[in-house]
Amino acid sequence: MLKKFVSIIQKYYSNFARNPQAVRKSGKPLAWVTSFVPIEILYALDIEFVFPESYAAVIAASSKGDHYISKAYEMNLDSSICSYSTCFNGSFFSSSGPRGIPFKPDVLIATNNQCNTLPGWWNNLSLELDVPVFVLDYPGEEEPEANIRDYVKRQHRDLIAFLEKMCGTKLDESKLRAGISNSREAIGRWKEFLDLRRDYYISCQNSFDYILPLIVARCFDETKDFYHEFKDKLKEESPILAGEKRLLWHGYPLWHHHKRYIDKFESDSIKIIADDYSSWWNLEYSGPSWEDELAGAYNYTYLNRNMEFKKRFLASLIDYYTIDGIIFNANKSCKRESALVLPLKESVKKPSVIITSDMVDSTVLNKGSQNLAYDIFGEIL
Amino acid sequence: MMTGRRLLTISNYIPEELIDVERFISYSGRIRINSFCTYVQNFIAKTIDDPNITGAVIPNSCDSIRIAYDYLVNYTGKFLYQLKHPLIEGENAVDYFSHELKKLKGALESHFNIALTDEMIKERIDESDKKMRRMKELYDNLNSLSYSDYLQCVNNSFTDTLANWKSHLNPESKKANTNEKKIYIIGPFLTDLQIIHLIEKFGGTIIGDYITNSQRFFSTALVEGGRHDNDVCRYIAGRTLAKYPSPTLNNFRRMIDIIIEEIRAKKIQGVIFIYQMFCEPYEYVYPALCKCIKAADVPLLKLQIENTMNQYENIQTRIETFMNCL
Repeated sequence: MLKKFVSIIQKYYSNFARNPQAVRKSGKPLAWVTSFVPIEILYALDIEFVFPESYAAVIAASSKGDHYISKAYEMNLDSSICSYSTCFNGSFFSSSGPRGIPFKPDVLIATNNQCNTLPGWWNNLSLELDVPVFVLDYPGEEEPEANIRDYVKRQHRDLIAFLEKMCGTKLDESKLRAGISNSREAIGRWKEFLDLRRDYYISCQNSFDYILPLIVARCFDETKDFYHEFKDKLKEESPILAGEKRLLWHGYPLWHHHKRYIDKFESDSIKIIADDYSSWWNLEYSGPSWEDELAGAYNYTYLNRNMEFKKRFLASLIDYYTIDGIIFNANKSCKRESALVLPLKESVKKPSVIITSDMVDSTVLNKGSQNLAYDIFGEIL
Repeated sequence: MMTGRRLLTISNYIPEELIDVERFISYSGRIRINSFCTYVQNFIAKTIDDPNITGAVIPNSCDSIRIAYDYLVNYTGKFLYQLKHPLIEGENAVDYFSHELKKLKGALESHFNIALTDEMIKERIDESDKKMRRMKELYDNLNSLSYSDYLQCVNNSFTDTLANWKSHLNPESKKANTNEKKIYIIGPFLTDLQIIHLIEKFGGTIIGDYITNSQRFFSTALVEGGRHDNDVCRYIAGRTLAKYPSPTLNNFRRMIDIIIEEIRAKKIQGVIFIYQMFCEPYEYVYPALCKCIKAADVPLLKLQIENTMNQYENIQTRIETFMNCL
């Protein structure tokens, strides 16, 4: 299993180099994309892609996040904005990073189906790098749905035309269908893994780390194959849960933390057994054509849904995993998540606590208040 | 048209051609959310707290304002409508936005039991055209006006009905002073006139801007185009999206080109970039804008506002120093 994981990640990092003057081997066009770009389209056009947000998480996990954030300040990016962007820009424009830096892209593609911050960041990169940017606008829920579907499908067609012109190739529809099928299957296996967590203790660290192929390579054959083996392997290694208090981690991982979450909340009798972040890539590809499948999957991402949906989703997690308490992570960088923590907290009928942190910037986490929260929450439970 | 109903809003994307909406200017409320735009926090608080506000029409321009809708749905039973405008440009965007405007029109008619006929809307389009042309006329004569007086008049017109615009857009003239330094300001909806007073106090005269409640608002008056008599909503959608872009429209290049061209044409001596703390759209455009303004050899001051009372000593010092250096 681990071999397949390493192979996927190695292939992904072939578009990175330690020497900024290095030349790419593949010679294929390269796109920098945000996490919820319909990469199946790029796959069908034989365009390679890297995910700067994901790389910011990797940088933070190597304990270099704060260093590169400070580099970004020197480039006129303020500390108040998304730390994925400050960390990545700080690394890229100072030509260093734990796995080198990605090659300069031929095109930048951003979506707003997780937040409106990313198109702004991509516009910033476009001007800094003098590379064209393409923004996809996904409105989220609306009635009547046909208006959104048409709007989104036309944008996908525009993206295809734009990329075909740029690459001088035509979209391979059979490859696109295969890519969608791979994504659907990989996500299906991942959901089975998430379901297992009801009965087996599989730490958040495992789910936060092993979701990486689903983010950066979901439409590839090898990713689907990896997730086939993945759940069975983890099941073998994970003790069955019995008689313990069961907690849910809500919000982003702390990439700078050695466990990716605050493990102080756990003890012999209390376990964080589930999280909502691991479900964010559970895209639903459905509809009569590939155009409908892509429009539905990428318009209705979890992060693009409204408050009522998010409340219902949280309630379903609490119910399915029989959760006893919730740790809400109010992530400074992600306004769409952190500002809604309070109404979400008020909607649940379980003990819960809010911690304030940042996914990349380790200085935001207040250790004193975190310890206080841990003590009080432990007593309540 | 909407007499007796006060709908609050916060963006140029909510077209006055369709309805009278009251632009949010200021309020100091009880809502406090960490690391979150204080301007939007105060908008949320006013919508909840002010008994005279009937409801709000809220766009989806940035993350803060998207959250405002979800937040308000949770905490008030007032009329709330989220107008989803496109974050891209082009024909597809205009088609989509015209559908959205028709839905907004339907929601208003249904909730308030009123009829917004095409004839009424066409009259409002004509009135809005006159208002924008008057704003443009004033803007073109900023040399002989006090900018703070001009902006006060404009802001007053934004909190009144469209029919009353003429009673507001009459700033007093002033004598042109050739010793004053020519300043250009960039930023979001500027409610805080104390900053403008400080710039003027220290010898600046603002003769150009790229802010939401001035040039960016009336820039549609500069766009030539035919009237869609058979589809008023599509016409409004087209002209709304044709306004000079905000950073939320994802066309930084066009925004920067417009600014640099005007700075050069007006021989501007200093630029002041005013932005709200935690306002990501303006933060992301700043690095490239900064490079282009410096390449044009014009000094630039970045000024952060937090909508708090204790910020002025710091702001005063920064403006005074900047003006002295020009």
